[in-house]
Amino acid sequence: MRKLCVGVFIVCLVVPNIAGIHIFPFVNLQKYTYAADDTVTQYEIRIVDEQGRELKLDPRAVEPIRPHKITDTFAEDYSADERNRTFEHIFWEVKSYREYIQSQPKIRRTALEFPEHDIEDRWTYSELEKYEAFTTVRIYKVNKTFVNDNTAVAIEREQVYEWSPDGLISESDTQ
Amino acid sequence: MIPALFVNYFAERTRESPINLAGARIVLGSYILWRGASIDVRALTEWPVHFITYLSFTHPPDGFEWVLIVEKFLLLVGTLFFIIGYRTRISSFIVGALFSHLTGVMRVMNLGGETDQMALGALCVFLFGLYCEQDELSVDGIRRTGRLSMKTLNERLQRPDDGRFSMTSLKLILLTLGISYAASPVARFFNPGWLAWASADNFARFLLVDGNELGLPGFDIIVNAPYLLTLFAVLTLVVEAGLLLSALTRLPITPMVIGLFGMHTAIALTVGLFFLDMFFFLLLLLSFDRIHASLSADREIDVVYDGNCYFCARSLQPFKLIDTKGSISWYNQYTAPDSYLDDERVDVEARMYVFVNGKPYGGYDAFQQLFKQFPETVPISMAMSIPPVAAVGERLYRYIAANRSRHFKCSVSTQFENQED
Repeated sequence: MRKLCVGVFIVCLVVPNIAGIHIFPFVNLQKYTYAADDTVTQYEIRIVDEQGRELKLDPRAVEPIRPHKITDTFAEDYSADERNRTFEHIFWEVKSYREYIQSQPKIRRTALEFPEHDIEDRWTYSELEKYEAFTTVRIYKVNKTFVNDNTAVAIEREQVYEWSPDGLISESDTQ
Repeated sequence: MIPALFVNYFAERTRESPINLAGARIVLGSYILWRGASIDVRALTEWPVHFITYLSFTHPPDGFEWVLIVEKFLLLVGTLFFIIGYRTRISSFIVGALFSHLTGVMRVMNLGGETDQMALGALCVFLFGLYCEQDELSVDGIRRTGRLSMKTLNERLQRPDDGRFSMTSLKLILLTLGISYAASPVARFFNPGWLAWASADNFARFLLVDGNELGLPGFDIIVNAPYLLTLFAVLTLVVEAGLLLSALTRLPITPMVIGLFGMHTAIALTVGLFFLDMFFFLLLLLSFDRIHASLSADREIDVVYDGNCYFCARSLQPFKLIDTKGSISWYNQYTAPDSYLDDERVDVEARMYVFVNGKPYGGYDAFQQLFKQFPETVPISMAMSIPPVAAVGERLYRYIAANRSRHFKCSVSTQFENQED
């Protein structure tokens, strides 16, 4: 019986890893298996304060989501209603997270948690002090083009969505 | 030492001690405990839209979100049982199932390497539980000694170290990791092809697209060095495919595992902590027993215990299991040298003794000397020498020694001997 279990286990493990599919909890670990295109498109979430100043989203504010995953799906698959509800959720999560950071707890909960994959854009108390109250969430489409024989990246940002608590979503032009 | 730092369980099917299983269980359990405790159930349940809708069935229906909180609590309790090796068969199944489900719930919002690796962690727990009876250095292992006769316990302590311990679960975990790592080079072979993938241009793009998150000083130099980029790309292919190939051909896996650690460290320093979980999984293959042996004390000691005391003989079994150097000679009142038994200070039926260079240490001090022998228990030995701890400990030892027949199975009857043998 145990040998049968092991046999089934190995088959369930090999098939997703060869075929590149997922039969959860048997997943494949095919990572970075492609050839990168000349231009890579990503998305970026920014929070805007009353003065119009933008701040890139700290991924820890929107657990368990990885922000670039939000925006891939968001841009391609979501209906207007789904976008609106997601924007609203992000906005209130971000406000709550800002309050947490600015409350300056002696030991941050996030410091004890398993480290997240995204390590950039971490908000700090002193950085947040420079910003007024948050009013708006924006999503930018970011095109990264490899230049100079692939030794540098040229970045173009285009604002694709904006949301404020009055519930209006607008699609904006290139910045 | 370095070539044997990690164990190829296909080449070495058995080990001289079960330490590696215990070490792997503690590492894997600690990973699950940390990962599980870090799952933010509130954040999982409050997102208004599911990103990966085909896994939405893993979410509890509205009004039953509390189920996930209960699951997380049970996961943490079960993982504590798993770490100490208590009821490992059932605890590993429960931990594997709950961790899989919580990972599935998280995956609805986060389809990527993070949840891929968590799923791999759950599979490792299942594999560990499948052959948990081999895990002797655990609470279950100690409980199992309760089924042995006095004679068997005495023989186990006093026989030379000829015991061999199977590590089937670690062998299967090695196979699982090997297959998982090999998936990437196999996929790259078909598309876009190894040559295209390992080109300097392509590798530079991987580095540049997510940027230099930690501001690594040599980042620009690496990106501008085509030969270095190609070398890194080829090494990546080699170590990813090499773990499975080395395992199956029974070659040392240490170079491949060190290479994988290097690869994950380089990724962490340049583009992010994408493969942090894999560090824990690779550590499961660590040769805990060899590290333990190299850090164990070199001195040789003799232990003299009451050969009629069932409780005493059971208590000493874990020390025998971790004595990988064979530095302890075990005796009871029937086998001990006359010089020990004739010593006026020694009363074997009243307390246990450890002889260090002929000097007897009795009772509480004997255990302190035993703990001093092994790296994992040295801190306990040090704590036992602190006066308040020693005062309480000596009283406790005297109480247990005086009442062991009352509280534990100690005196052995002939009927019991016959029944068990």
